[in-house]
Amino acid sequence: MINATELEILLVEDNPADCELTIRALRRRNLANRVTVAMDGAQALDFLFGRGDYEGRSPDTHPRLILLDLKLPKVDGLEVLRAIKADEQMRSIPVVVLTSSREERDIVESYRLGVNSYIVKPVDFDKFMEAVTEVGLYWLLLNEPPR
Amino acid sequence: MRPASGHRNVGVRVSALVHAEEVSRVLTPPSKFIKDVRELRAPGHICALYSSEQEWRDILLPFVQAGLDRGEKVVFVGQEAAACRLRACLRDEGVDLPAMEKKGRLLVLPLSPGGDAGGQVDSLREVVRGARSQGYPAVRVVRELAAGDGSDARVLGDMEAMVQLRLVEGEECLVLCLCEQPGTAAEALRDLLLTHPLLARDSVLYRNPYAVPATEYLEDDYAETQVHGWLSAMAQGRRNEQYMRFVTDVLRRSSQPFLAGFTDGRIMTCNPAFCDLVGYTQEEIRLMTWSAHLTPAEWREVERHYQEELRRTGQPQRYEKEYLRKDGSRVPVEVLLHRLEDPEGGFDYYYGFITDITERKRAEALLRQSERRLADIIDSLPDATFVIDREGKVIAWNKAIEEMTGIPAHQMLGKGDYEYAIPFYGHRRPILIDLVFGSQPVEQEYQFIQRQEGALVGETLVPALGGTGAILWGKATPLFDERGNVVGAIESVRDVTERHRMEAALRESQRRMADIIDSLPDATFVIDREGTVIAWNKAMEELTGVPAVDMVGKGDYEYAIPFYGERRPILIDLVFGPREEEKGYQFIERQEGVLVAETLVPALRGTGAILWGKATALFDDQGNVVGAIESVRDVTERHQMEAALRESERRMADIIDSLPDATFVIDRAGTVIAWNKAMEELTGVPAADMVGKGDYEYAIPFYGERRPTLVDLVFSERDVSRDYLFVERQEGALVAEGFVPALRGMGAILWAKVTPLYDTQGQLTGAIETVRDITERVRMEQALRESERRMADIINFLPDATFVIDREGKVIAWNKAMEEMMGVKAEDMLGKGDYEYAIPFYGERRPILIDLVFRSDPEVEKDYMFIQRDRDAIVAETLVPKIRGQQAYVWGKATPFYDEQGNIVGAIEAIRDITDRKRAEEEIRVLNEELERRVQQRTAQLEAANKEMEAFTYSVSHDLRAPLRAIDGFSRVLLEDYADRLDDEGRRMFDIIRRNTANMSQLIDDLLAFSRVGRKELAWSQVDMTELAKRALREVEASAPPRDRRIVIGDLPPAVADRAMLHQVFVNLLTNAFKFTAPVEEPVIEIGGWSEEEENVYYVKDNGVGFDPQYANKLFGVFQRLHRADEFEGTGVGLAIVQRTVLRHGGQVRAEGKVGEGATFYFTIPKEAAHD
Repeated sequence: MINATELEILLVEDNPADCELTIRALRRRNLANRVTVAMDGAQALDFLFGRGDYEGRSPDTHPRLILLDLKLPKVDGLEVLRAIKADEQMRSIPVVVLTSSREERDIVESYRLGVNSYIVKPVDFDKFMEAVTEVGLYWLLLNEPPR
Repeated sequence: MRPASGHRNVGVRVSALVHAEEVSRVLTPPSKFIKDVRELRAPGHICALYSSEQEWRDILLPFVQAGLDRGEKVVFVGQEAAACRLRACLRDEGVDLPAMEKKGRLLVLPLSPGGDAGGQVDSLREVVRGARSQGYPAVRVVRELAAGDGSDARVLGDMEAMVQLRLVEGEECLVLCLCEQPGTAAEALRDLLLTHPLLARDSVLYRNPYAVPATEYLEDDYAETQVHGWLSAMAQGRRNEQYMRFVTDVLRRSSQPFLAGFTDGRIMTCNPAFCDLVGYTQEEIRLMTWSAHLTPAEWREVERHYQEELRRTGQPQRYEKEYLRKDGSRVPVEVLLHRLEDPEGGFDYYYGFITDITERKRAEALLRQSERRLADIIDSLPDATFVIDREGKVIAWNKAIEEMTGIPAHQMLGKGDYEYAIPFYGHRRPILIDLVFGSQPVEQEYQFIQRQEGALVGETLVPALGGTGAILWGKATPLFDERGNVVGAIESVRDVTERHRMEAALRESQRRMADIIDSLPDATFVIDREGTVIAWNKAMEELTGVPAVDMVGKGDYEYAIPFYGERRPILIDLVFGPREEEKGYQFIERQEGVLVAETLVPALRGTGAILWGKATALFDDQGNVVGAIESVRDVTERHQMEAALRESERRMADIIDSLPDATFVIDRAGTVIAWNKAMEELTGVPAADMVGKGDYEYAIPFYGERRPTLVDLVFSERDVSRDYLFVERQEGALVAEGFVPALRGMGAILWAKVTPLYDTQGQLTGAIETVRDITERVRMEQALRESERRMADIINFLPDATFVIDREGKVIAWNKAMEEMMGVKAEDMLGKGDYEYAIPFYGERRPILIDLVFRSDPEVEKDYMFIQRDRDAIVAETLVPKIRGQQAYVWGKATPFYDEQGNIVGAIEAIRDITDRKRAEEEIRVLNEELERRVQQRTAQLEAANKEMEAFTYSVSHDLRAPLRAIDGFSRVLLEDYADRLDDEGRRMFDIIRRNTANMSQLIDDLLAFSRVGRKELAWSQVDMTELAKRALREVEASAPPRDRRIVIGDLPPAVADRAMLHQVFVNLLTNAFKFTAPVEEPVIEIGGWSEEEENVYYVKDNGVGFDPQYANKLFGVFQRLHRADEFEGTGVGLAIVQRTVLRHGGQVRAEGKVGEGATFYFTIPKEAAHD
């Protein structure tokens, strides 16, 4: 069920190019209606936990999917992942790491922290679009999250 | 005997005869007689008288004719006239006389003139024997005598007798004896008749066929009586024929010689015993005259005397005489002569029973000799002796009594009426000898008198002897005859005056002896021969508690009571002779009349005691035992001591026996008294064969001969230095070692220790020797010394400073290197103990490394560095302050050494001065530390660089890609959003942009991959390289443009490696191979490998375009490419990754190839994983 008012996707991405390309890809599948972008890890966490700039936002309103870059200013993606998965309420939010890194230690660490998918951003545009749309489709349409 | 020729009138009263049956028989008519003659059977004999021709015929003819009829031989002995008459008669009877005579059935023997009866009978015997051998059943003999021939009845009688004895008795023969009725003197007839009863013995009855007209020649009473007697005898004989046979048989068989003879000297008969006595046969005797032939001349008068006596008194006479034997010798005989006489004078003969008295005569001679000798003996007796007969007459008075009394024998012999008392008493009176016959009042006069088995022994004072009187001892004995009657008495007397005086003196002496005995220290008592105590000394009083007064004079074993509590024989009684009690003594010894014994006496002191006693007989001057003395000692305590001693000795023997060392003991005399088990085993000689032996027997097992050995040195010194390897005195004992050649047959070396044995008084009593067979030990010691000498040589020349100590810590080796190192000479160190060897090291005595071999000591170990134990060796290093005055580092290795039993017997230590080495090591150590420090520094730098590198590559992978992605992405967005505004040239340029971003992206990826290969940790595992290659091939094939390729995969040896990285190696190499074979017609790719000693070699070979070998070194550089990009795509990172991977595995890569001839890439992987 797509609730229009409901936050659909939290995109944590510091690179505006990647951010735009990602949203563009989501939009192609009409998945970008409710995308919130956090430009660094700290903002992402403030958003999720209703702190800082997002003071007053109910932390109980969870995004249905979090697309998380690893290399982030302030608080990097792995810290954000750790915080999400450590929270009892939020750990059930699907988190997909969307990163340029093919480093094995990033992959291993992400899965260790409970990431739901780890996608390496392809340099090739077509491949990138394809990857993002597939992730969006899967987690938002096919996946049945716990109630 | 009265001669037959003696003339006398003979008258027979016929009326008296008719009563008797025999008389009627005599008067039987001739017809009956003739019948008997005819029926006469052998052996038979008839004697007949005839007086007429008719009578002759009536007798002769029937006899002869019966013989001829029966086939018997008939012999006629007679005068020729009678023979003629016989022949005439036979001829009248019709007998063929000439034939008969010719055949010899009738034989006429002329009667020899002169009446040689013996010769005639001998002739007859010849004839009879001949006839018997010729087979005649019998021989009939007729003999005829004619009174007119001058022969008389006596000749007839002789002939009859001989025929009877010699012919009829021995042969089957019938005899008829005819005698012409002589008409001569009645006496002749009577003699004839008288002979017949005797001759008739053992023969058939014979009879006179004719009635004798008694009045004709039996005229007087005498004759009548005589005939009557004969007839009576005849009748008696007939009735008692069996009795007669018995009597005559008894006489014949009697061993008592018997002889009957006529008064005229002729012998009537005798029995075989008589023949044996005189040695003549009966035939010979019958022809003898007993008085003339058998009696020696000097005895004839004697005999005649007794015959006359017999005749005078009518009593049988017994007298002695002699007979002359046939062999001329004489035999003494006793004759009991009887006479049988016809009171009428009809017959008169003697008969006698004769006894051979040769033995008696000899015995009488011996008796006479004996009596004479007895007289001589009595005469020669030393004791005064005389003999009286039952009537009291003196019949012997010997020389000694002559001397004693001064009265010669001839004055005394034959005297009676107590004459013999006068020399002793001065008057006639009964004396001792008379008491033999019966009790007399004088018996009381004797001071001492005793009866001993019929003999009387007495002593008395005789006042008359020698004028002064004397004390006499006398012994009188009755004398008996063979029948045990007292026939006399004998008395011997001795003058015992002197003895009595002596006895008095003896008593005095005994009293003195008692005093002496009383003072003896030993308890002593004396008894006399009768067992009466005569002394009981003070010591005895003390011992027994019985005072002498209560004991002296007591007999009946009173003295036994204090000892045994009862009366019994004790030791002193054994002096007089062995007794049963002797067995009761524990120990008893008899030596020349002295008895020594020991025994338990239960009653003494109430508790009993063991007494030693010595008893001796006491003798008088004559050597007679008169008493005994016994001394006793209480040896109870000594016995207890001895028992204890024996127990001790037994224990000692047990101990010696159980000693492990062979041991023996000898006493002072050299006798072996102990020989223990170990000794038996050593020598093989059992103790039983050795104990008790002396004379150096104990030397034999060792030396094979008897000789003094070590043990004898205890008793006597001698030079033995050459006998032993060494001899040494040790506190009185002797210790030696020497070779004994005989032990075990091959000799042995023995160690021996001899210790003298002393008694409590310190007297040498023996010696004990202990020996050990040290042959093996000595041999071992020699071997050991040799071994040690060799070892010392070896140690001495060891390059390391080395010394050896024994278990006691004494230095037994100190080699040259040691001398040099320490500056201490071996001779100053050898044999030293008490840590002397520590001084050169530490300047003080203290345990050092070598001592740790024997025992751990943490205090000592603290001084050592690097203590290491290698089995039983200890290796350590230490700093010692004192070697040649300088501190030095030394390395030491100390090792124990062992004997065969595994006991530590010493230790050896080798020492090296490692001061120089230590210094070098220290320098190295400092350098190493510096090096390490620098390494750590560098490593830190490297690590920092690595981290930087990591951060760098991380950044690269992120940050280089993001712009590319933006370039690519937005160029696409531009194409999409502004496609209508771009021409083809514009789009071509966008393509170029995008191609380059893709290229850039690939470069980044490859670079990152290369970087990862350098950083990644290797994950080692066993890798199946063949399988790995196949997988890589499949992967490469999948992404390659499909075409025909020939791909060969060999057997690749497995490797220990990082699977994923090697996978990439094969992928890269195969990718290359695929890429560079693309232009060739028939691509061939070969994957292979082989195993070498330390590494495996793998290769990938292709027949592609190859390369110029001069650029081979550039092949593996990063981003190094030998082809233009438009020829072959690629970034030039693949081979760099291959090289880096292989290098990280410790292997190597190389490439072979030529342009256009393909290429081969080799890489090696070490078999032992090399960790970077």
